[in-house]
Amino acid sequence: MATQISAEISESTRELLENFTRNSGMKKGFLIEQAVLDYIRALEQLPSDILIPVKIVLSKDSAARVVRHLKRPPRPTSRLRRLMSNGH
Amino acid sequence: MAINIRLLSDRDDRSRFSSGNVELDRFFRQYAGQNQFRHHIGSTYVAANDDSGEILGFITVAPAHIDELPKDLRRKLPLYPLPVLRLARLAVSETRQGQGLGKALLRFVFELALKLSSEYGCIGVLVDAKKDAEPFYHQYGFYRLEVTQGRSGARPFGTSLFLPIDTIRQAAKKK
Repeated sequence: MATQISAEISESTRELLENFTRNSGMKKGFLIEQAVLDYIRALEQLPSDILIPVKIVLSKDSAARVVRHLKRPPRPTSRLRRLMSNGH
Repeated sequence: MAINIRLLSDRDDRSRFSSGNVELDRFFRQYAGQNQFRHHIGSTYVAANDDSGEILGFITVAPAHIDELPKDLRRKLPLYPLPVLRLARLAVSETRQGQGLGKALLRFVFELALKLSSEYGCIGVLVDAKKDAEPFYHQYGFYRLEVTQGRSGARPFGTSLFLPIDTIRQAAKKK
């Protein structure tokens, strides 16, 4: 017997879900159930400290800094220049 | 001795690798293989002696994304998350520490990020750095980010550091 759940997710994840189900023809409920099962199976096989989280959410200040640097990246340090030019 | 940086293979002998850091060694010996070959949740590259095959260092990377940017910051950005390359682990064998291998592995990560950026999209490299490794990354321009969700679970907890891809690109430009 099926049951219903409700969950808050980010706008971007919702958009990803909508696009994927629209393009693949897969039902949302089926996709969500499979994803949850796969995720829990993976967690059961690996200790949590081994998993590498895919989604990163930043504090407002850190997010602002990243966005600012998309437009105006900081200049490379001399160490970085040396590393990329001759490997030292 | 020629050293080659390449993807971890299931034929590599990981059992003898020792960096002196118990957690990094445990990860490499027990989980790097299943992360890569079974679960496909991260890729490990090894620096190996071409002749003997001995593993001298490794990095583990995975694609990740920065999500849920505040609306006022999003104005001129697309709705989807911002892709980054996450450097989850970097270790060098005790016998090779202090000889520049960590730098070579880091440079490899930068080259990987540049390739990702041109082929799929990548706005920078995010490192989960152990406390004692922070100064190493700071000298290349990495700065701290405050991560509220999606911190690495690796123990002891480290710091998230970031370097924008265009800074790396500028450094890689030939004069």
